[in-house]
Amino acid sequence: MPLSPDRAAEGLAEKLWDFWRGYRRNKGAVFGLFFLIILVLIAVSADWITEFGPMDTGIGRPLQAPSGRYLMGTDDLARDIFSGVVHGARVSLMVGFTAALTAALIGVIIGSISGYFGGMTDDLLMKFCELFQSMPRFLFALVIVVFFGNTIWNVVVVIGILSWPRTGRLVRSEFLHLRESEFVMAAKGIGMSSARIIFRHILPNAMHVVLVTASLEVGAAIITEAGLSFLGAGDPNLMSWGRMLYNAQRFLRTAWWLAIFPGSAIFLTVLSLSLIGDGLNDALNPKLKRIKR
Amino acid sequence: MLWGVDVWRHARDTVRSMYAYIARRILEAIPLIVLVLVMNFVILHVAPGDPVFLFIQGGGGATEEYVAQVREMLGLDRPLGEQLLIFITNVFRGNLGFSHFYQRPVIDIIAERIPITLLLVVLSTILAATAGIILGVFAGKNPYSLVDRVNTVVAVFGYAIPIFWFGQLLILAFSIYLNILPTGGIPSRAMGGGSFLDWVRHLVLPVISLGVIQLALTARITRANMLEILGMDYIDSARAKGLKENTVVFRHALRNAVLPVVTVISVNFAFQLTGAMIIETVFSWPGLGRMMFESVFRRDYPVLMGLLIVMSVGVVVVNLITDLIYAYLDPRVVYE
Repeated sequence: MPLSPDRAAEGLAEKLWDFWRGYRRNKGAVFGLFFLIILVLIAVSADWITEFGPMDTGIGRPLQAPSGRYLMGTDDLARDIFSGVVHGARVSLMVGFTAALTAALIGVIIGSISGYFGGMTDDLLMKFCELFQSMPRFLFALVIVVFFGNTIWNVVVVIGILSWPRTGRLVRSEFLHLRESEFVMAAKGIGMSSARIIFRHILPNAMHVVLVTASLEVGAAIITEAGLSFLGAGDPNLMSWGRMLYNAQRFLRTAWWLAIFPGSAIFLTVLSLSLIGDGLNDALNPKLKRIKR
Repeated sequence: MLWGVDVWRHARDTVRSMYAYIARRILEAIPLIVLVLVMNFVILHVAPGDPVFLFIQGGGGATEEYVAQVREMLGLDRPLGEQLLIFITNVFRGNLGFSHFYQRPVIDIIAERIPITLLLVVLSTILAATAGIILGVFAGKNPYSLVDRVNTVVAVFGYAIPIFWFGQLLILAFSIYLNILPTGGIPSRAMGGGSFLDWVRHLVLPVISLGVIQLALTARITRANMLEILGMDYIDSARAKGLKENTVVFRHALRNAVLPVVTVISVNFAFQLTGAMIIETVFSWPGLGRMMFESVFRRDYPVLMGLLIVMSVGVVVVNLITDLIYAYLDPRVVYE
């Protein structure tokens, strides 16, 4: 049900507790959240945890296997892999969350307009959505990044712009369903503006879809960024997980640690985000709630 | 009751409406292709710098006459609208520009490598979809069983693993540690390779790493469909007739559960294609992906732009074809 702001503030703590009770039931989701929190802490304190900078070359012998001093070994330029993995978390989390936020914003705007107004607007926007969904998005991202310069911001913006369709579609279908409900009829009946109905009344009820999709989009964006860096189109000034895998490719035969650690970092991060998505769905989806309680 | 003439009429009408449907779908695809081209054009012109230098790559050594010549040849001195028209006409004529690195027209370089990439894409799509359907059917038939749990793990795994890292892991395990499969490349005649078995050995790892997402997707969709369909009335009535459980599942339910997989393959095609391009880099597979990788490295803009155009148009065409196949397979599609 739509909440007026004052009532929402009043019941916020209660709502959060309610949410947590639904969320913690999913053990995988709790693990995912735990892992993500640890990762954020690592990313924030990267400079204090590591002895060497991620770009510092010649800190020891090149291609050393993991040891007490070099936890994850060193690469061909004798850079510390551990430092790279820790600092790479910053890049991946930053890209993942910013790109997903961008995608969610675009998706919510297009999806809600499309679903609320329907008709021609809907047809046109959905054709547009289809175009975005069917095109080779990774290649688009790659070409744009190469043409516009491979800075981290270009990477973020491109991934964000190319990933809105999933959110857009889901928000649209929620709106299609919700605009027929009685509270929307009532709001229309008392002459409320479309913008107010969309943002104050329908959107809060469709928010669970946005959140669940966003958590998946964060993971997808992290993989896309890694893919771009893996092809040498990432930001050359930052150490990212994809870039480390790109570097590992040439030394697979001699130095397995170059590939294992950054790759596991991507896998575990994206896995956690997907588990969190499941948990959010369990806790927020009103349809599931009714069945369970 | 239908008499001969009616049957004939009905068939004629169906065929007519089918042609109309095909024609309409093709007509719908054309604006989509033009829109894709416009987007390519926009990228080219919004990108920083004079577009003419994108075509002559840096242009450090180019004389002013040469720059002017290229500019005129590409129509870059004309108004923007006219340029767009020239751009689109050139694409439809198969003129995608010239790569100074390869010293050849871009379209030729791309055409040469398409089959090598498609081999990877098609094989992995077919194998992964088949495996996914089998997994999905058994998982859907016995929810919460061991197979179902395997299915869940595959789905999560397929979503979270970057395929290029999965490829590297496979190389580490099978080519380096166990040493039973090649690390990459395609069989070479000169080295005495090229037999069927040799091709299989080279294809195994790239096909598996490329297929993992398709497998996860297909399995998940098939499972969901299977669960839904097995709860339907016609399945109950098939069971009530005393049909064997296997007949009910594999003859009655499977058919309808598999149909949406066609759509999944279609929607996922662009993704598989770009996935193949990354996988090629991991396995030194000499197709479009490797060329893309090298072109990113060399900043070979005409090749990258050409690739983007060919790929995006190719995806529209493949989606069109799968739509038509779907309409053919599913009698419920109304050719309105």
